[in-house]
Amino acid sequence: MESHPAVDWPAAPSWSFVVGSLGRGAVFAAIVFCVLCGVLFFLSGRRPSLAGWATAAFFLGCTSFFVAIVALGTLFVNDQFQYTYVFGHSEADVPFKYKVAAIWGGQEGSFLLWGTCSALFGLLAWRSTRKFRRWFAIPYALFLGAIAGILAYESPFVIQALDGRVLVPPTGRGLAPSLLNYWVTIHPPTIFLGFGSLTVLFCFAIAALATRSYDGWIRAVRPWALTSTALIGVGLCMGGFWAYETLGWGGFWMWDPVENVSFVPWVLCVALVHGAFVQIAKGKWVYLNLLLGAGPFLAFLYGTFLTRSGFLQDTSVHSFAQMNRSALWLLVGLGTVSVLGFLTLWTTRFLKRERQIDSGVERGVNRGSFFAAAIWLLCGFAVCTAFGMSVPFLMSVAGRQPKVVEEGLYHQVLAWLFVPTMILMAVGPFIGWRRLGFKGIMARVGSMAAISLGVLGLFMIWAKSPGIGARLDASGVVSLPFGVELPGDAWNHWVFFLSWLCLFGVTASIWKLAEGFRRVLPSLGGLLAHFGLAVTMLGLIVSRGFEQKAQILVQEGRPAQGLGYVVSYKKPAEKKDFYHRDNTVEFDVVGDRDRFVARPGYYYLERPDQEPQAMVWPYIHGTPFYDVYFTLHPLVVEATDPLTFKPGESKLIDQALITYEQMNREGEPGATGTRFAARIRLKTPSGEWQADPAIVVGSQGPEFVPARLGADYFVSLNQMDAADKSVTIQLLFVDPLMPVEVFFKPLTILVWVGVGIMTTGGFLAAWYRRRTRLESSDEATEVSAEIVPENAPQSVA
Amino acid sequence: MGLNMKIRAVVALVLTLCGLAAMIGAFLTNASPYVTIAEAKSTKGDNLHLAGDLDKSTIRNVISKQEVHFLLRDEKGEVVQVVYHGPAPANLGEATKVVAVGGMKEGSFHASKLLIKCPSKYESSKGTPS
Repeated sequence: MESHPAVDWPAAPSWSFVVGSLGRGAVFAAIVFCVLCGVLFFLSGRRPSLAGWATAAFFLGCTSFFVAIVALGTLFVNDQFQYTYVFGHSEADVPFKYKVAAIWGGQEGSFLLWGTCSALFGLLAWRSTRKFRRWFAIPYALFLGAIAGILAYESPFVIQALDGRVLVPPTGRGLAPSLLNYWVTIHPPTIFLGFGSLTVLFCFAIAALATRSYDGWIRAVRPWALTSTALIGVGLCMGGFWAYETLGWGGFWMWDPVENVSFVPWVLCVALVHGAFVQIAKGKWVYLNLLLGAGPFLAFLYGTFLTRSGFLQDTSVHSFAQMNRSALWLLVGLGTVSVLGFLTLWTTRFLKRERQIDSGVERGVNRGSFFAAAIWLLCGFAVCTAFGMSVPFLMSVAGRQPKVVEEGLYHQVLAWLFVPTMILMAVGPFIGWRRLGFKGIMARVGSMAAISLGVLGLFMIWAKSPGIGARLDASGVVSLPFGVELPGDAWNHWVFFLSWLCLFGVTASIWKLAEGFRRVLPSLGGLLAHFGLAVTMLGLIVSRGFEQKAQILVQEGRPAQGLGYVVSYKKPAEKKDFYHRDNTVEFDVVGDRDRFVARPGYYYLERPDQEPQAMVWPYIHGTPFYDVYFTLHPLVVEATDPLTFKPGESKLIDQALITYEQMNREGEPGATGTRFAARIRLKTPSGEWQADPAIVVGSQGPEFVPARLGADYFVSLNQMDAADKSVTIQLLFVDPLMPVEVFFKPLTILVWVGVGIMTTGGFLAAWYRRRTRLESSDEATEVSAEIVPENAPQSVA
Repeated sequence: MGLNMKIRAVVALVLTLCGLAAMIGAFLTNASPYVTIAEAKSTKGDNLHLAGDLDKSTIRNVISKQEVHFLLRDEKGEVVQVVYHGPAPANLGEATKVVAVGGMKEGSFHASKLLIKCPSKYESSKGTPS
């Protein structure tokens, strides 16, 4: 700080100390109130009068998180850069939305956001806890207390003082430029709301075990499980959209550890939602559902540990700040106590359970079998993904050579689960509780399978149409684990097969919805979620599976061709500001299907004592049938490396012959104004040119004077040796080369449409199930409506 | 629990264990290893992960081949030329550490993918106003 012109900085306003102290105080208050709540609720078993005080402590503990985050937000939006965390993550001249986003832009803020979202859901769920309240509140409060404890070690309210004075720097370091996109304001709070809601599921499961009340909890927890599923699901999709719109590699998902940490809890939530359905309808799978209730929260705790502990530092494209050691140990302690405590309680109860008398095995399958298989498959997704992301950690613990599981390997392994899951998703809603054989099942879903095959046929005709189709590439290879590969046209067949699975799901959902809106009303949300998921997967599979990519080099006046498009640089009418973050470069793109102007983002980031850093954003030309994804890479100015020549020496670079003929001097050696010029000759198939780049001895040191070499190049004299008259020169482009990657991605729009439908369905389901006391008649309606097709002759509810 | 149920449970358990074993085997056998330069030279494969410090002064665009060349120093101090096939990533200039994914060929490490580790502000939240 000493090197800064800090004397010009204003002193920190007194209100900022009040706000900072309030925030810091709120964190400590959260610890005190949460611990107090846990203790009082524990004691309230013998002294029920303490429950009221414990409730008050819970509310005050939760409120403390809101106070802390509002205090931090106040410091951010008012540019109080004397706070280290504000200085590290915000800037004075960024829009308001990025100042808000900076709250969760770092480690401390993201923990505060997690705690705040958990506190919010604790309050929202409070009313529905009823008889579970005591044992719901104890773990909930202790968890919030632990998060507040982490925040006490990793405080965002630390002030940076200079010689005992607190001054406000004019600006801060700001968020990483690549994060500056509107999604940074929307995506983290959405997905953290989902993570916060997982605490509700976990604490309900603990409370059910502690009270041995295994029936009531599942009705109470179901709307929250649906809410968690919808929130994390939409958060995951937002993260995918963020990656698609900013990262420039043309994809939504790459199985990075940060994505997996969110995916595993989501898929376990989906399993819980299905398990809850069976328990409510049939009273089965009580203990499995308790495990599924705790699973998402514990999986997220484990993922948080993995990503914050530094074990994945080298194996993720994301950057992770390593936690303060004390805070990390607190997180490890929280995770260990949560996992061991829950499993001990669950195992104790499970071993003492009342054995149910089974009526024997019937032939065929029913809806319960489908749900069981679906839950196993969903748990399989969770276990495989969790294991895959743990490989670097396991290797590190075992002292073995580090390894990482890449995107392709995840696809190879998870495809074995994806195929049966999609079939179950399509068929399941049509199967009732009465057991059916294969013929019975085919009688119900045969028509839909036939229709979906017909739709696939139409889809294949479209995909293979030369003018409007997906432009299939027959050179793809399907890779299987253990080095097995299916060559030839197998890739296209594989993508068509996966597409059929999705079309089967789409057809089945539409069919079910068409059977009668009123009849399927209770399960409308679920059906819409299935429909949306099938559409999303279809979009992801076709968009990635039939993706085509070309790399081209564009120069002013020299268009380039790729994927059937002619791309030419469009010179701007007015001078552009290449240091403004909203700057774009324009290209005319003309193809046989359409023409458009691509405007990829391109600007230079100024950095002290360093070369300006090029920042790029892709441009996406979206149509109903395909996206053209356009990525501009940093402009290339250097045509050659620095080349050293002796007088008379020639070098052949590609097809260009460069010759250094001689050195010419004007003036006396060492005198200011003396000019050393190198005669350079360039010979290419299109012509021959010469130029004399020079170094002039100036009063402030050498001045470099490049010379024009033909229409395309400058040549600069970088260095010369007066003794042997050797020189180092470099050829530079007059008009920089613009490396462009063009992606053709068919049917990408389905990803957006599918996510919209899936999210709507998820929230609709949560809204419909929001009543925890479901009347038995409603339940009967629900069961019969979801299980029995209207036209099924053998339907029995 | 009837006999049929027991048989079903055993079959389900065996199938689950087989599935788990296959998954673990597939992940551990096919996961991409992180190697040093010396290990890269003695290991076949085009999916090796070579992590090291980037020598920024050696970054060179080879336009005619659409390649980027640079020198990489691994944790043992050994240096190798990396040939990346593709346009230079935007943030290569500010990278402190690079993970090149590829394999050795004719004395150079040919990479099809680069993972760039940058000193992002998101990461260095411990900074002070100095």
